[in-house]
Amino acid sequence: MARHLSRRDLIVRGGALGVTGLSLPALLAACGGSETASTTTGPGTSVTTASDGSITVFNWPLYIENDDASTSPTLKAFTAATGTKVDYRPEVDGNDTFTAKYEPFLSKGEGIGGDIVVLTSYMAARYIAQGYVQAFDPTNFPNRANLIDSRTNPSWDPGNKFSVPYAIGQVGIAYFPDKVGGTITSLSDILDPKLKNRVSILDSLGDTVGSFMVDLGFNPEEGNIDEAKQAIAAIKKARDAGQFRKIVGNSYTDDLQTGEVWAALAWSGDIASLKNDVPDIEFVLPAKGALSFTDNMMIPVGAKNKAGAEGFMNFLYDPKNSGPLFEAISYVSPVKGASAFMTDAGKDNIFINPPVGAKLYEFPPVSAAAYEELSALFLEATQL
Amino acid sequence: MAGQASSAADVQPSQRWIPWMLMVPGIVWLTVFFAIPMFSMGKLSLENGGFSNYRNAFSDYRELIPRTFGYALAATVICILLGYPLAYVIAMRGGRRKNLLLALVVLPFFTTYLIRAISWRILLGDRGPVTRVLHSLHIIGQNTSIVGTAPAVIGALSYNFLPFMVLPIYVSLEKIDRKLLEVGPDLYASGWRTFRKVTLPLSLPGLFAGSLLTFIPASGDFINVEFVGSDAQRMIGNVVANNFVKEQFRPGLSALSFVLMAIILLGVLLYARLLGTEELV
Amino acid sequence: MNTQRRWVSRLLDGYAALVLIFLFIPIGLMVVFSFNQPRGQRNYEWNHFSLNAWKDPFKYPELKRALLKSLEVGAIVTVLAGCLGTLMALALVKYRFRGKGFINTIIVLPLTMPEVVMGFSLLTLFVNLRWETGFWTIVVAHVMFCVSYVATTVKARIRGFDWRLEEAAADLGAGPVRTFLRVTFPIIAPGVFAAALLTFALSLDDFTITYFNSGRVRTFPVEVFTQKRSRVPAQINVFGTMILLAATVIAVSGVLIERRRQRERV
Repeated sequence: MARHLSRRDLIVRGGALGVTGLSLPALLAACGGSETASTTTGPGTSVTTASDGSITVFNWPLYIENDDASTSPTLKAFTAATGTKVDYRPEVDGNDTFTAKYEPFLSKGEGIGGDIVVLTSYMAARYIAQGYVQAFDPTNFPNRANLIDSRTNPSWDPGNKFSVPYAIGQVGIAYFPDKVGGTITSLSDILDPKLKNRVSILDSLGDTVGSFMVDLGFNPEEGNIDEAKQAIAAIKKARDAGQFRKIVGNSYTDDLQTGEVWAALAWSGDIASLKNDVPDIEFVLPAKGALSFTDNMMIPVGAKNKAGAEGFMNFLYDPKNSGPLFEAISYVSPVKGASAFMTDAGKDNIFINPPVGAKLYEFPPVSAAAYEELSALFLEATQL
Repeated sequence: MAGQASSAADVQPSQRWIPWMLMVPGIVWLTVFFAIPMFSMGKLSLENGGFSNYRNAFSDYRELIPRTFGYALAATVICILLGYPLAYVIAMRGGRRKNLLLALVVLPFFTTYLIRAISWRILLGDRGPVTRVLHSLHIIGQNTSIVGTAPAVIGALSYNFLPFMVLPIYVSLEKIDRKLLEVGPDLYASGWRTFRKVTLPLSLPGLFAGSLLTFIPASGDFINVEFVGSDAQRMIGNVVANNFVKEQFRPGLSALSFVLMAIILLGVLLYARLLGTEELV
Repeated sequence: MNTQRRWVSRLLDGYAALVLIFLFIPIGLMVVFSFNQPRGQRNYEWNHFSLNAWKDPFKYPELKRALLKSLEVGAIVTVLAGCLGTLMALALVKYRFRGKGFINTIIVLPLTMPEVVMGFSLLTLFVNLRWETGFWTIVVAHVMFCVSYVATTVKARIRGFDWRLEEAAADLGAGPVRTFLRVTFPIIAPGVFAAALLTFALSLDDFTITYFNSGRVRTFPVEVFTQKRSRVPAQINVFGTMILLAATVIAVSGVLIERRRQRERV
């Protein structure tokens, strides 16, 4: 499952492509997922225009019940309550991928065929700074007041005028206690040579480098580039020693399911779903601290049904709707009081309600130049 | 059928354009969508640094390139070992069941490639039947897995391209005049010698064609590594496919594709030179 | 024949049989696992027998949509590549002209290129042309590699035919259309039919080239690959088995027809 496929700075790739004579947006558009974008530019597409009482939502996979929009109780209830249909598309498979595809249209102020997009904080910050998204109409979205305090007023969106979290998750370690021979408490534990070739890490810069920074005793939120470089060096060293079976974004749960990977850097909700299939898998947040991520809903410019989108967010920000949804998808709800509408099992679930006192860091937005440099180093360390 | 009568008609000079008319649509299609892309990819690979892109590709991927062709070669050899006897038995001893047997060889390959790959994954996975049997027989250690090793990848590659080996060999064996083989045992003492002196040389074109048709797709494959390999088995195809998916586009990437293409092209042209293109298809 | 040779032959037969069985192991597994009730999202481990996937093959609308898309692509590609390829084959077999070897080489080259290279280079072309990838770029790509298969298949089937029959028909007063329908077409039909089947199968099965050039449109193989991120349902095996069954029926009828024809000829 490809939540955060790869967070790479556009400039890096833009530069590489520029010199090869290809335009990056064009290549990415060609690579995949541009049918929607073409609504603004070309014929032959069938994106629902939302003026007929429907909205289009671009979201990550596994962010709706059973990963199946056609049967999702939340979507059904929303349509029943408001009459607005939801064209739900779980096709955001990476912040950079998504942005690269749609930025050409957003930067011209054109619509992208969606009324809501969901992106991780550091990318959401960029969308707001670039003016790719529209401010909410507070009268349509009274439930915004239910946003939990820790996510209220982020530095990049004071007053949450443009963005509210859809879901919150953590980067932890998934492992099989019987295979690794005991309990794992830190990232160093999975770098033990006895797990050689049985470990996988994520190919997403912020999550993986951030996790290694925490393990080295740094605070990633300070955004110290030298510390990040040390973390990358540690990753490279372990990789050269053959520690990692795979460095992947989209298929690590596959290898956990088949049992070939014994310990993996993992996104919390994924493992929650996987636990249904593989009961003996454990998930732990490293004692030194874990990376956490927030994926935010925003209304892109050119949205056809802004009011409908606000209505949808308002619906999701009602704790009695949020509770059951987040119990089903096993991520942390950003809505106050949501757990009151969960079963006891849901309340006790560490994926949904992380242990109190867990140290959680978010990978901060860093300067474009710094991100470019880190990106190149990370690529070299993990892919070459 | 009309037998040996000369089949190609001599065309009146005034009608020379007829065959070209017939071919124009196909040729245009192949030129625009096959030849030109190849050319532009070649051009692309030389931009921003010229031949140094190739030098970089060879040094960045100094393990990847030999590994790719090594796996493809190993798969080709396995395909010969598995495919030649099968083709031989079908051609020489198949009798009336020849067509049925050939159909059986091809049939598995009418299921989706990816589903076959999933099956291999099930078969070889740590919790799959093969690994379990080998574990219980203590042939491999309890914590050794088959998936994520070179033999797993080579095995899957061999499986997937086996029919490409069997069919051309079958065709060339089938063509051999049976009288030659009947004469054989009288002149030479053993069947083995008949095989070595008559059958094998006459089937060489098929063997070569089959080897090429196995080696080429095997060297460009990335699905099998994706399903039964790990990072340590990555092939050129994986790097190309991953780079394109993850948008980590480097100048070396098109150079890498071009290396793959050039090496193969060289083999094909050499082959066409020596043996013509007929056997390849 | 001496006993030693018979013994060797037996051994050979046995070996060949083993290889054939080997070919069917993954296929058998695919069929068996279509009757599995997977424990979770991925059908990787045997759990227990169930007909659920067969009872509800279209449970996942994306898979169904993708399969229909594949069939649609396959049909268009078969017609287009069938026409282009057959015309080329006719030209190559019927006429003598200069540059034939060159044309033959051009036709064979796509068959000898790794799909990754073709897919990637074609993508660079579409990007340069600023074509949005999607349904029609899939069709273009498939026709590209199928034309060669059609041309070579048809060529092989119609080689050796005495084209003077056409002239004879014309001499007897048949017009070109009539000649084509009455003489030429019946001759090339079996070859064209075989090529069409092959094309359809190739198009249906292609993953690599499509993966590069499909944009947001998903054919069946691309959908299977995409779904693998979150699930591998038994329904995939059901579709695989159905495709296998269809292929078997076609192959068996092909063998039967061939046999009857041979019998008639004797």
